[in-house]
Amino acid sequence: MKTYCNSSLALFLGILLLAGCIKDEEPRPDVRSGLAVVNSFLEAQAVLHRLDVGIGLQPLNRGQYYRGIDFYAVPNCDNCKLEIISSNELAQLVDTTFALQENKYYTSFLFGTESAPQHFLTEDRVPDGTTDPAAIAALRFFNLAETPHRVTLHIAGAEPIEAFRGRPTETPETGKNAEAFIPTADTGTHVLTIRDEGGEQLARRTGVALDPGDYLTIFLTGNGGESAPYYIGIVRHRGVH
Amino acid sequence: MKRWKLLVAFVASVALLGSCLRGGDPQPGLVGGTTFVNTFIEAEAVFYFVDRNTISGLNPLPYRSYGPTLPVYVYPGEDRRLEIYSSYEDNRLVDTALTIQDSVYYSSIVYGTHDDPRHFITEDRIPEGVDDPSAIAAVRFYNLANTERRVTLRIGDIEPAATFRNRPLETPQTGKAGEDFIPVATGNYTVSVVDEDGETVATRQGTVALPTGSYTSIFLTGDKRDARTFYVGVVRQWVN
Repeated sequence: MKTYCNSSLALFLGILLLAGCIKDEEPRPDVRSGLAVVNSFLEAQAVLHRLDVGIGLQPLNRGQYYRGIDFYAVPNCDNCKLEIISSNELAQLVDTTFALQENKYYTSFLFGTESAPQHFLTEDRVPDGTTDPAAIAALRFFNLAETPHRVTLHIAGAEPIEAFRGRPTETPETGKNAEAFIPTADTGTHVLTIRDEGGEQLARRTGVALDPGDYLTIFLTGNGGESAPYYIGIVRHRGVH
Repeated sequence: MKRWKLLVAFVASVALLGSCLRGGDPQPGLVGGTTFVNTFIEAEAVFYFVDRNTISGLNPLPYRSYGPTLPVYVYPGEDRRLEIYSSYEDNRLVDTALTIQDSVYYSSIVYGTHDDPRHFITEDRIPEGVDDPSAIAAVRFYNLANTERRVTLRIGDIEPAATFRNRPLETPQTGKAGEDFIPVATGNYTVSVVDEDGETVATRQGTVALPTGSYTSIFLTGDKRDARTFYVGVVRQWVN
């Protein structure tokens, strides 16, 4: 009796303790890339993004309006093809290929005109030398407007950051070169203004929240006309890597 | 064997005597909380977050409304972060740290414009020296309208109290300083707001009941750019 009791107790104890060693089927996170798409193309009501991750071109959305900002988690791929079609006579604006690596974040910017559509894809990286990405706030600025002006972004009353001064309308090269986020210690709620080289205000936006852990792209869009006034767009990045 | 008997007797007595306890689970009474009042005219609605958490019923809270029905019990402590966002382009109107005490009712009042959003928190207390809070009615008055006019609250034919007269647009300081409720005679009243020339700015439709035990905030909201927007808001408050 005693041995039986002891051995069964030992068995139970053994099951209980060893059960903890079972390698459970852990949920495997999908291997995905983050792709944000920004539509700053003012000559069409909307555009359609079609992405090929190896299974043919698939629409990302059902059309994205001018000034729209969307975020998608898409499968990573080495040879992704992106096509952007305008709602205006279904003209193809962009046809490009690039690689999307797993668990990395990218942003696609579309701007320009029907005769010269412009596009670039940024890699959204944590600034070099950052120990805790959630402890800092960082910004970048693009001029995607149709404007002859060189524009400067002012954050509240602070002295403008060097990279945010006197920016002419981007080309895909200048946009790509300015993809790095610039850390700022100036967190809080800000009023943003964008001024031209003469100091005249082109656009203004109030109540912009900038907290530690926020990564924002600020861009100017529009052409200053009645149908497309200058406007400050803000992309709140879902993730950076 | 004897020990067994003792044990049985003990268990039995616990089981039997246990039923003699007067049951009734503790019924927690509502002892404090915060009411949110939205008089921010430049957006259709605002969103509230406390310590980055949403509050059901306040997501969003439309202009000229208040809530929730039962005040939100924000956990007492320092540095409770309150954020208020406008439904227009997610403008952050307010980002402030609250100090919440237990057993106190608060009101959060947001107003102003996107260029100059304003906000204050009041402590909603029974006026000092009142023996029976349920026997009186009391009122406080705020000018939350975007106008330069100084306005006066008229409750029926009662001579307005000093704090109801010639109030300019509140600043957070004047709002906080005007948090005290002023006892008034109970009754049903026509309530209107007049400017310094005696011209009526807005009149509350129907009558406002000020029964015994009621503590009411009355405020003017609206914007001078369109005189039709002027409106007399009435919020019945929780106090203690």
